[in-house]
Amino acid sequence: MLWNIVLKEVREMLTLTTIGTIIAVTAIFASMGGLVSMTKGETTKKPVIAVLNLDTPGSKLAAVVVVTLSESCEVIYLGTDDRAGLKTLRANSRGAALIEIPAGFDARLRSGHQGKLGVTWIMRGAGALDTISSAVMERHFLSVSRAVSRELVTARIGGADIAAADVIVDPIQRIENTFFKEKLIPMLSPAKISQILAAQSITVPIIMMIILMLGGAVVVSSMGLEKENKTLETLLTLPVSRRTLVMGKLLGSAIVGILMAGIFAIGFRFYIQNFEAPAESLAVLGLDLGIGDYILVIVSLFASLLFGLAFALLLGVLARDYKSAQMLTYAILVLAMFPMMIVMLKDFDTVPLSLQILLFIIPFSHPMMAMRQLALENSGFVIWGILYSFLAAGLLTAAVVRVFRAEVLVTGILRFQKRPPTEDS
Amino acid sequence: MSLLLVDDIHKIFHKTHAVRGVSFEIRPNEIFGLVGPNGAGKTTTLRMIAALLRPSSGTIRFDGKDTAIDPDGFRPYISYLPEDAGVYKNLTGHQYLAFIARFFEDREPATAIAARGAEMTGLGERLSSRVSTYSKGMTRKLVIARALMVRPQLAILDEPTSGLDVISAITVRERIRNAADHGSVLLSSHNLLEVENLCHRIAFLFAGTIIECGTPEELRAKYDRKTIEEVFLHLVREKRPQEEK
Repeated sequence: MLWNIVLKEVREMLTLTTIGTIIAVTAIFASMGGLVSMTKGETTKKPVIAVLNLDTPGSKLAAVVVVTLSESCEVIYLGTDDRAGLKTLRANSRGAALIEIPAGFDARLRSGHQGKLGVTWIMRGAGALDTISSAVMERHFLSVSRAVSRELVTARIGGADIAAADVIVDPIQRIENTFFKEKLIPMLSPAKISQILAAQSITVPIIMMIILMLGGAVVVSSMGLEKENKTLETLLTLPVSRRTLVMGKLLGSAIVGILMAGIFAIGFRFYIQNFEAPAESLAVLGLDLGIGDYILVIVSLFASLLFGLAFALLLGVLARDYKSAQMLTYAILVLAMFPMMIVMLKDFDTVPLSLQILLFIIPFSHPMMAMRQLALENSGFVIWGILYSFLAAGLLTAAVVRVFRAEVLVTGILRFQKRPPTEDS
Repeated sequence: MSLLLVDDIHKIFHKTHAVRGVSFEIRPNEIFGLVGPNGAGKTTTLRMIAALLRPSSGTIRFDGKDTAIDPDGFRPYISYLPEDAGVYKNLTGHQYLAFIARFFEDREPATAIAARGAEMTGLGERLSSRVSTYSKGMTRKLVIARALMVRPQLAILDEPTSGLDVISAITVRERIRNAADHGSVLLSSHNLLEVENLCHRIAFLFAGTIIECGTPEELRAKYDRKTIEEVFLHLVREKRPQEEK
């Protein structure tokens, strides 16, 4: 009986249109991932530049600039003709900037005045990713500045002691350790740790949102379609218990929702891998997860999904038709968005008590928080969250079964019936 | 011995008293007609008998047992066809019949039930197409076959031939007659000629109350009318002025 309903739900909801839509969204995410990956590649490549050296031949500081730039950039023109330099640069598809070392550059610096370097950028587009080469060049200008400083200091202190010059240019080195949740993490600042953990904190909440969005929409739509297609009355007179009916709908929708989310996850994986810290860096921090941890995350996801689908089914009862059912899906998303926004910005331990209570009450929060809590070896919190989520899902499912036994599905008026007396009474 | 005994049932929705003390019985292998003008309470009565709604008071007994106490135990013996019954549009006709048949496979293999349903529809190869491509008439043939293929002890049919052409309606009436070989049929229809030809007994429902019940012959003789349609008109005209008072 149960699998008969499950099979019907899957056949009814898993149409070519729905599969096509999710594949299209997946392809968009995958191509976005490709674009981000390509941009990341750009940042690791040497920028292509032209250098115009107009200072006196033999100028040492001008030579330092040229050598430093040549180490970090691909210099495709080095000369004194600005027109030729610009032409060569523009002809190269990756040409980023024309750097001009003006006449008297060396003399000016040695006389105690600030030196000036002219930069003419080649801007090929106004998009954020189009200007990445100029951001990369900023780093190399800093290197040029330090090299010139070192040369000037070396000259002042007598020439030989390069190490001493380095100390004057950069006298302090920070050695950072961070004490985080009972753990001493060496050589890293809080900002860096947060950055490493960020991708891990985003992946599960987003996958949770997608599963809820798709699975919830499937459940709500299933009820909306039953009403719109006038199939509900027939279904309710078939020889199947209301509990089996509810479980069949939940399970069928869960299968369709998870399948669709699985397809989506492939595309999302392409996208998110660009932001994830490598597993080794998490292991170095002592924040990597074992197989048992991942199993707990999956169980937590499953418990929350059950709650979400039962909630969606309850909303589906209120839907008049397919269109209004689609609108009701937003109620689930809002309930999931709230913990997602908080979890992405703050840790559970650092939010006020009222928010902690609210986060714990909403079962969707638990899988969103699970990975970070497990990384910090707080598995007790995750297990309590799982138990609570299963309890909430069970209670909500029982409430849905009760609604299915009521007349509301036929009349649209919510009024529960008293349990009928037994034959004996 | 009656198969179904409806005893003084009432249904109140908020302030609307939709059904007011309806009582009748249906005997084994009987086709029983329930007729009345729009808003008389026919669909509400059928829904209460199908255990979709609970009577506000009164009892419905099937085979001697109160259906409100164990609706799950009662449902395997009935088949309900709502007036506007629909079908899952993304399923094919065959898939739909197989889906329904599997709920009844404890008494007969689902494939045999579905095969009987397929034959009843007369839709042939079109049963392999998605229901979303069917005309209204084809869909109606499919849902009628769905209701009768399981050979229920009580088939509750609300306007079974509405939307069907003359030839299809004749075929469906024949199916309903055959269904009475295996169980009883409770039929509601506005087509009084159909009711007169099919039903062994007919009850007239007006403003939530049964105002007359009997065999077609008894009713025609009692009111000295040639057809059940004329009896119906007579009864409604007689009741309408009273209702207006």
